[in-house]
Amino acid sequence: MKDNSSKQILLSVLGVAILVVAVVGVSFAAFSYSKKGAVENTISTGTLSMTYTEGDTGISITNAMPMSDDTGKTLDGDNEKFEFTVSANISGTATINYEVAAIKKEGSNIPDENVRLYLEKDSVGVFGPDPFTAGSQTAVGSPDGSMVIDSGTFTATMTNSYVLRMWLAEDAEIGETSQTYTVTVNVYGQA
Amino acid sequence: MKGVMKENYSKSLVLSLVGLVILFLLVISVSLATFVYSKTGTITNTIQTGTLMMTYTEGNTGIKIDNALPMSDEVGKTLKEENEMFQFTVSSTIRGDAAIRYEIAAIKKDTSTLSDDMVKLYLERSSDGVNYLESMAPTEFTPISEQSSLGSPAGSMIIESGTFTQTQTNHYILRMWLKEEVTLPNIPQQYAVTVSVYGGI
Repeated sequence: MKDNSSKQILLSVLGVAILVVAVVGVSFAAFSYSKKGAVENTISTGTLSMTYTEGDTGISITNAMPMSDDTGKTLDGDNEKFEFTVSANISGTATINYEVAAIKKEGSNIPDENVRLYLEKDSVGVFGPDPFTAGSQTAVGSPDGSMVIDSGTFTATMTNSYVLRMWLAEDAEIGETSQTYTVTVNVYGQA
Repeated sequence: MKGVMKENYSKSLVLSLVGLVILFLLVISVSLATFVYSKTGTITNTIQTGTLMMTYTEGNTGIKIDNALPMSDEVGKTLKEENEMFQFTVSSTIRGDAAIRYEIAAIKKDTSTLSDDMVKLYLERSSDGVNYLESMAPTEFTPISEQSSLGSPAGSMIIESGTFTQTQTNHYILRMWLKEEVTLPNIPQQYAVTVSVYGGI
């Protein structure tokens, strides 16, 4: 009798377990939905780059003598001019604002007003002849103390060719000790 | 004498047995015949399922922006050209007292080379397909780490979740753009997503 009772209990428990599993199974299967989309949504960037390329040599004039602006603008020796290019590579409709800035190096002890800078772009004068005048930081990025000698906008892939010349102003007085004046050129751009 | 008595005894016994059988049969017959009744019922008892259905329908075109430039959220939210937004609907058909929970998930494609923090997604919803309200603010792609209970896969971004309690259609517009602060890479890169919908009760 005990044996029968145990069997009955076991069967009952098994039956309940099967019932629970069946109910749970039915509940999960009642509704589910999934659909994977087929339409692809894409954004692709274009090309937006700028390149500043310096020539092999810069201005290096020793024993410089004052000269007129007309003479200075035509200096043509390798060490009398600094050639460089500024290029943009643009695909799509984008605009790059750029600035070419002269940075006076520390240690330059010739007074600013005794020096003339002159810049040509694609053989056309775009700056000077003028003395160095330090400016404030600009929105495009030219730093405090630099002088913007050209600015413009690129809207397509193109290259601008520049020539910088620098000389002693005609009315500069030569001192008893040797003095120097040195600048570098930086380029800044922003889209 | 003894022989006759034996024979009589056997006869009596047989007769008794027959009698008992006959009696037994009579009792059963009487018992069975005592009461019989049948009536055909007129009340029908029925169960009938309701209707529970969901549908995700994509628009004909999706977002396809080439030479994308960074833009502010204010500008991105108002992109309106056909190739600048993705329109789709999620519908439910419900008869009866039921509720369908659903999720809309953006799935990033493996071909994406821009990082998640360079792109923003923005979702609007409308009940009439005309007047849209913001459903998800401009948000960087933020993947979930595990599959959700409704089935949105790990790595997807849930851009909307809700519950249908009646037959209705929700209209959606998805927009996507380069974040304003992004510095464009030197080489072309891309970001692509598809949209999937998951539902359950």
